[in-house]
Amino acid sequence: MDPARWNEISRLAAAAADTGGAEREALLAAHPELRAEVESLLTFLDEGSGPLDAPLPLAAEPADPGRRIGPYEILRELGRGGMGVVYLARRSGAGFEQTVALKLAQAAFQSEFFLRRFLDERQILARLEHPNIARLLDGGVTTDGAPYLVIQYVEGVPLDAWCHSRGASLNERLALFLKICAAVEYAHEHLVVHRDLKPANILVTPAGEPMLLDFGTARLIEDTAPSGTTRTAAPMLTLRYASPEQVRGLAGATRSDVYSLGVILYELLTGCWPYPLGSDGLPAQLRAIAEADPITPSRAQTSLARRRELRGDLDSILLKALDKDPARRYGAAAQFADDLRRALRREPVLARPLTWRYRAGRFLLRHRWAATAAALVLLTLSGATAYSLRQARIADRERIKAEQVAMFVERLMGASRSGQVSPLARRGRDLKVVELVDEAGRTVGDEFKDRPEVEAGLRSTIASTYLAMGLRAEAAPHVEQAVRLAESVYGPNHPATARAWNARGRLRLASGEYEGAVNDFRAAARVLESVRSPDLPFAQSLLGEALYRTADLAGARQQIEASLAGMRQQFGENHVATSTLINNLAVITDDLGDFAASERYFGEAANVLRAQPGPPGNLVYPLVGLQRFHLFRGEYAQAKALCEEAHRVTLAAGGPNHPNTAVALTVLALVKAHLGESDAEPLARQAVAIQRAAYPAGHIEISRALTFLGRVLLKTGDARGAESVLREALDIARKVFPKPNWRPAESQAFLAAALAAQGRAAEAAPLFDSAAAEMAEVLPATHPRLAELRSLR
Amino acid sequence: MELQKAEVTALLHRWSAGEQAALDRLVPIVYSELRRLAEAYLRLEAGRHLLQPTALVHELYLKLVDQERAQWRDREQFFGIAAKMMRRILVDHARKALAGKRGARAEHLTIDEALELPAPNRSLLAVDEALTRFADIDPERARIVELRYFGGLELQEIADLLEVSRTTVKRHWTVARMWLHRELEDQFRGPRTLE
Repeated sequence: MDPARWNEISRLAAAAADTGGAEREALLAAHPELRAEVESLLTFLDEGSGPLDAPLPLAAEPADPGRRIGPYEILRELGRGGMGVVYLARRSGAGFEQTVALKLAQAAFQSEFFLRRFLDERQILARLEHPNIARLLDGGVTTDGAPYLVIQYVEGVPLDAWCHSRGASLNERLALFLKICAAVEYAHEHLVVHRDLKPANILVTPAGEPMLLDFGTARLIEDTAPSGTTRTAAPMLTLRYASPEQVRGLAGATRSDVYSLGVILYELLTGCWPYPLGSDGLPAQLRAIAEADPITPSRAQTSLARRRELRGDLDSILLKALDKDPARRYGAAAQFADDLRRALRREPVLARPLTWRYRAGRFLLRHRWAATAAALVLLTLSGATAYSLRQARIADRERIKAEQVAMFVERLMGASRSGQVSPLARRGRDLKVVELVDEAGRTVGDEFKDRPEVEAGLRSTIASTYLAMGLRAEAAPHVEQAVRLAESVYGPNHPATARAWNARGRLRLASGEYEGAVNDFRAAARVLESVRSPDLPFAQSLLGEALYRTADLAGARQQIEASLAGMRQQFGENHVATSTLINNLAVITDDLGDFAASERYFGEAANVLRAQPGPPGNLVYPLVGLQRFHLFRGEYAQAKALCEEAHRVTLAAGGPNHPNTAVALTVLALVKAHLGESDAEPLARQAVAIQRAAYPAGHIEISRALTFLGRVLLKTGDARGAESVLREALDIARKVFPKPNWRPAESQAFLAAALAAQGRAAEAAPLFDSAAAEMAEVLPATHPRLAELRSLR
Repeated sequence: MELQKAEVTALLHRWSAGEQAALDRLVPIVYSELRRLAEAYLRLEAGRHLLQPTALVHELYLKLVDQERAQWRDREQFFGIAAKMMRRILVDHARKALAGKRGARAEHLTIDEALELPAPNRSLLAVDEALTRFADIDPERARIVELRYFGGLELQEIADLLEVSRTTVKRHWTVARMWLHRELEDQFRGPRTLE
């Protein structure tokens, strides 16, 4: 058939299929030439028994009821997943008959890896005995070697369907949910994280009891939907209940389960998902989970009466459970449940988002740097936990370790479940991060005397935190301990040792021991690369920085480019964390003389920051870098647009007196001077004024602003004025950079130009020549600054 | 195995990032692994279970891709490749089953020959051939059928893979389904060959 004609037919057929009756008739009547063809298609519209309506089978034989596995007789299939099948089975003996669910591993998948998972599941389930958790009853191996698990068979209806079909009241739903929380809490106390809590995994029995299924098995046997419903959906795509950290690919910890419980309760109470959805695509869902604020439950699409019931405490409780930051959620399912009970009893609840926001806001205002450091502590600590939890899947020993670390941190934070508040926590918002870390440093040795592997990890974290606060002396002993412990416990090829080396490298970098730092980071990167650790890009970035300090520019570029690739892979193309790397690459490639790369990197850094909300004031740096290329090429209009953008951004982000605003003003003034615009000089002077107020006398930024003012004055014909400001600029720059450097050289060259413009060629010539020699010494021969210098002459 | 996982995951990343060469390395790995898995099932004698491509493709994904490192995009891309490979393997298998019966090497089946096959193989070959014809006039919708029928992907997964809305996929599917069912009915109605 002619594709063009098919195109028309298919479009009409699609439209007609969407409608019926008179509307369809009208559509068809409007296209008489296509009508017969479309109508013949429409006779196949109803789905039914066509070959495409049934899932494609590979083998044609039905399951085999009556087969025996150990003492169990298979009755029918309940469901199946990637690696196994779940059967309803029966065990009969003298005077008893027991109906069970039997999970049988598929013979084809008995790899060592898989068997280990199967045995893991068995161990996990064996530990759990709770009236609301489906119990492990038995397990064994079939005659042909396939392992199987026998689990309590739960006859019931998925949680959401049960509530819906009974029209359960708010209180009934909450009562059911509290029991679920208790079961989850019980599992957590036994160090089991579910990771895949969802209504389909919670059945309500005819007696009205909720039963949790698939504990720790979500990744093992994924689809245990009752047979009869042909489910082809990929269970891994059930993201509705996944936590933000799970969406980011981190292993779920207990607080992930708290989050999933939050979504389940949210849906039970409002009937909808917590996030607004612009489109129904998976990326939109992922983004919503990772970034969007949940809709306040009482504002969700639900009945007016229900909205009234939700307003206030339930709103606050749900929003706390759904917090993006695991650290701000309820620490345990039990705390979540306790708060719900308080709300039911009309007692004050712990979750008060408004109060929290108020306090956080105040805290941020008062301790901006401390808050940043606090976030960093939490990040590193939770990072450590997430790492350990990944390991936890391999060995219980490691899982216990992760839990111990988490508990240690919680004790420090005063979030102990006994309700006792630690002396530190009582200090509330007056607690300084450094005190927290001091306390951790004092107690960690005693706490983990006989657990050197835990101590090693925590010492690395403590050291890193001190370093982030610039406290080198405090960090040093912990660095040494961490390295010593890690090397002896883990040996040289383990990521934990790499972490300790990383910490030592950072200490050395901060102390100016660049060669030592390079060695540490290189060793760490080698190990992290061999285990494909997600931490590799961070080590590479540090290695790049250390190499830059040792003047190995090419090596630095290579490492930072590798780091950038890794970061992009992990965090996506436009993650703000990549902007600094890209900007550094722009500077390094500029130093290397690879200007095409430099311009490209400045452009990329600018685009990443432009995509951030705000956008942030440090967008000024790539924009300034970028405009320079246009200025050198005489593309003044483009340069001006970038400078104006920089000015707008810095004004919005930092206000009129922020140093970033001054930086934007300097370049804007210069390009305006090139264009002959009259406000160039006042803008340049404004920049100098801002920097004089912002920095102590003699700061290089004042010199920079003065140099720009001098250049503007040269352009506008005020050579005498230029001379005086350039002399001051040069004076400052010489003190800041006593060795050969392009900054003082540049100021000096412009000073020479100012003298020459006044007809003082004899004074100008030697100044110019020595400036040119200095620049040629430190810059690559092709550098635009050199070209500009030559043009001055 | 873990090494292979890491390699496949890395290749998926690179392909998702636009590196075509990565696909050239990915396809042979996916094909050989899927084939190995599928044949383990296809060899199963009577008395065993019905298995659907969805399960197989998902299993392959678990086997070949490092879940910790994979991003959603990698997953969709992977399923896209797997669907195509799945189709190729199943069709080969059905053809061989037929060749075993009649000792022939003909590309196309007569209806009588097709009827000798077990029902699933019969509809599989018929759908495959109809789909090949459909791809000539409408490659885009044919791809959707391939992903859904041979790859076992859900409409939403296809939408994510093709970066269109679910509604669009659903409409395309409806039209393709009507065309194919009309075509298939025509084939089985008369004593003509499946050409």
